[in-house]
Amino acid sequence: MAAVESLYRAHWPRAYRAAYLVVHDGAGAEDIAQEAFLAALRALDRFDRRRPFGPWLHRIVVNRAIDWTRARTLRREVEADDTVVAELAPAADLEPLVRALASLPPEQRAVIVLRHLLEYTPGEIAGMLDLPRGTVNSRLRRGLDALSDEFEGTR
Amino acid sequence: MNEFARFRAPGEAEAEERTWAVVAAAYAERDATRARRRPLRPALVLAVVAALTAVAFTPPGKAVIASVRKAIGVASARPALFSLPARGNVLAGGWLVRADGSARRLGDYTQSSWSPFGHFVVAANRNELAALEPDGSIRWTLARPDVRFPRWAGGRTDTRVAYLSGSHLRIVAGDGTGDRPVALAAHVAPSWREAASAGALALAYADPRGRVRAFEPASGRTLFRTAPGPVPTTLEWSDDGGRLLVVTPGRLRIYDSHGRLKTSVPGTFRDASFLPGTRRVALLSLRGNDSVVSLLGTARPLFRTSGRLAQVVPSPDARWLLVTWPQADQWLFLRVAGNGRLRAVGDISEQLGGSFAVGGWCCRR
Repeated sequence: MAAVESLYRAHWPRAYRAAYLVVHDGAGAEDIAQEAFLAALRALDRFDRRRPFGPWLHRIVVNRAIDWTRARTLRREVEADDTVVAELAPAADLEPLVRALASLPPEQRAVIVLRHLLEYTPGEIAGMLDLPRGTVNSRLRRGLDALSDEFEGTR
Repeated sequence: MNEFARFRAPGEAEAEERTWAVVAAAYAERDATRARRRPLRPALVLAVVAALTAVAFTPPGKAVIASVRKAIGVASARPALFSLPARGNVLAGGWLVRADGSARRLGDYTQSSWSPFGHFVVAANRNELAALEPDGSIRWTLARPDVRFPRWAGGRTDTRVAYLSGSHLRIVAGDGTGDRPVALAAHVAPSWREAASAGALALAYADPRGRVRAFEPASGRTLFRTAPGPVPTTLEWSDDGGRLLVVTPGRLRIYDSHGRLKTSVPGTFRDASFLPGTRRVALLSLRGNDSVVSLLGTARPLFRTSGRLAQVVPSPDARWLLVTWPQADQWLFLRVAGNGRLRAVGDISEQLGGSFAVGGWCCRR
């Protein structure tokens, strides 16, 4: 149990932050990160222990976060009078950046989070999201361009 | 973009602890399951299923199933409900069971629940809502179509009964007057938050889109409303009014009184309930083919079986759980403090005239 807890403590913060930056919803991010850890736990027997745990977990987190965001967009579930997710804002100076990120499509958010929060290379991201490397690069470029425009606009 | 290195998500530490409780419990459960696993078990299960399937649809088969039912469940079950393990009285459909084991038939009701402090019972059959004394005397009745899930709340001056009639949530005063429709509602029991505990009397219900709305009937003010989603199977306020438990088939959520999500646990849930006077939650969940009774956030199950358990109802002193097992025709009483202490009672449907659904266990008197 101690080993599992060490593994969990080491990986939770980045998994939760990554999910949050893609879905921009605390409860949703918690669900996603929690489900990813439980899925990882269920698949522990099949996991090749020579490989690093982080990329395996982050692959689950980011793919689920993209699915969650698409589903929410389809259901248009956020309503004006919803107070379900009332949360503290991120650090004030980062808030414009986080808000700007939220304006991007989830697929672009995901590659930016993987590249700049979790610091994977475009080649690694391509493997995690089952995308051609060129697609990752183009999403990164378009996302960063849009983020830059949006970010400047919100300053 | 290296600003992201400084990013901290809202509620990170609290979310980390909540999730650790779930992950630790899942890991402990996984280890326990692996230790118990035996290679012959799937073959045995298949053989039993095949045998039951073969006989299920023939008259002699029904007799066989009846005898097989006796064999399912806790083998040492007592043949009759001689007493309850804690104070209070249990409602089961149209029956009231007292702590000494005596049972009184209240009437031909399929669902029932207690008023606060157990002074009265509100009961429903298909087309009638009735307020009763615990001795079965009728105080008033109301004819309404397709009545379900009656729930009574309030104190000496303001008592109200919420119930569903068809697809409408309705509220009537405790004296049977002023019955009115409130909203379209999904088929799940509404839950009252008592006025004495946290401000005004408030009611939570689920609408047909799966949104849970908490509002104050006196003013009509909405306290909060959740996003649409799967329709819940259980709604329940904690006794202090500070938490609302919302169970859907795939997830258990706990909100605070402002609608902020405090806990979210994935799983396959059949029932859940706050332990009276606490914010601890007793759970009935499915893990694989097994039904598991446990407390939220704890690793060790209180009880586990391959049979299908239906309900978990805490005793008024929060020390026991009544777990219904219709398939085995048994009620189980599990000691919350653990040690595997268990008391089982068989032949429940025969003793309670076929009633099985428990409407509540009340009160500490």
